[in-house]
Amino acid sequence: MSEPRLSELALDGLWKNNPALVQVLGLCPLLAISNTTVNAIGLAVATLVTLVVSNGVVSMIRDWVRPEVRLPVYVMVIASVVTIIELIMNAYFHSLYNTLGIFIPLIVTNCIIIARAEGFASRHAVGFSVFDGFVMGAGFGLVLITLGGMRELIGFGTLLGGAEQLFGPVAADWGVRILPEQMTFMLALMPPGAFIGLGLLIAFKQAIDQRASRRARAAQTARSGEPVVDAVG
Amino acid sequence: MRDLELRRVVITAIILAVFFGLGVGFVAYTQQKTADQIELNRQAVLLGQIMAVLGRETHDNNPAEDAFVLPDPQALNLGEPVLGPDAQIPQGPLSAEARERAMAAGQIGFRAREAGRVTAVAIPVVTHRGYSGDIRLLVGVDADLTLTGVRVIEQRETPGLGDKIEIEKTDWIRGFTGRRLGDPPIEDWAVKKDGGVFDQFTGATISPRAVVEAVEDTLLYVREHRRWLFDQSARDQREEPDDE
Repeated sequence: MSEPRLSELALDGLWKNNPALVQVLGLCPLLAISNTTVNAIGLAVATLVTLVVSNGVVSMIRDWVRPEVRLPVYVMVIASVVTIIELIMNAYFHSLYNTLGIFIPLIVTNCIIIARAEGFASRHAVGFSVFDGFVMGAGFGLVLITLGGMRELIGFGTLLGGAEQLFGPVAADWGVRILPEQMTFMLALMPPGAFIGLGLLIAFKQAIDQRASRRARAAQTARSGEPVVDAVG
Repeated sequence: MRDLELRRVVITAIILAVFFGLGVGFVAYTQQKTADQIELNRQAVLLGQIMAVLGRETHDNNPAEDAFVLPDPQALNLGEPVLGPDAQIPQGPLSAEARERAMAAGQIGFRAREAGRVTAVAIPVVTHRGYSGDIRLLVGVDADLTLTGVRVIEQRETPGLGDKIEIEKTDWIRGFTGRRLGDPPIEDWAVKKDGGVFDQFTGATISPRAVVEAVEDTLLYVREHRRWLFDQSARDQREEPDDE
């Protein structure tokens, strides 16, 4: 079994195989919780922690799990991990729990977790699996936070509003108003706004990728000495 | 061949059972280890909320310890009285077990007292008219039937829209403090969109409407049970037959 390179894993999780933009997994929490930046950050952190832990556990037990029953076992691992995280947060990080608590059960509905358990952690060593969980979580989280930022900016005209709920009193004045209230557009906060926003983000990523590959082709043809078609016309 | 298959099935089933046992075990262990701390946190939060809704009232007791079983809990959407129909107006000192059950069902209020006299009560109320699921509130009312404070105890309203009923998000809920049934007049106990005096939020009318209605219901409830809630002698009279 060949182990992948860490840099490739990172590029995969963050861009090439981004869970939200390319695999389009985990849309339920992604669309539901991306209406403000602060909510998005909360869910992003919670998802990232769950992904890291569940990937680690699945990788640790991968040699003992028979292929026939691997899915029920993974489901059980994920459900246990999420429940334990919820209990520990409720007991020892109670104020954080009050803010993030509602997001935690949502993580179970995120199929990116079981997709990584099945597609990666069950075949790779613990270290790689944890790293994969981290970059996949980060890739999902960054899209979530970007979408949250877009929707909050258009829907409320603010960014990072209510940051003190997540970061404590020091963050009380982190929120900034960028657009006046009259210029806000409610649709962005509604479910359709989430779909439209995600669609735009996916299109944006495709546009960048296509441009990059056109450039690469052009550079290649230029190097090989053949005339570039565009230059003739 | 069939024999081998069977063995494989059995072994696989055992592996599955072992993993499930481990998973359940870890969850149960964590649950047991954290239960006390979670209960402490819950109590601390509850005490904070009771203090917040009774805020303005001067009191010399600990309202969190001065709990009482609410009469007629259906009027507050708290469900059937757990102490049975005979306990509609609970009488006499309650057994610890009965109190526990009423507490678990949330059919319990809290009194603020000054020199033994009840100055205000904190009453829980549930509304089913929220946008997503029930909203649970704690409403503080003083002996003049004026609101001393309202807090949201539990809600699942849309983050960023309906959840502005929470004090952590906006100051909206403070708008109830000092209001009473005549102020505004009963026909104006509604959100502005319905012709009332209370603000709704941009994009969220259902959640504030549900809260306004629940607070109004609580005031009506307290008015109806005023004597029992605030007048110690009225309660003592009722309790007498039960003490025998």
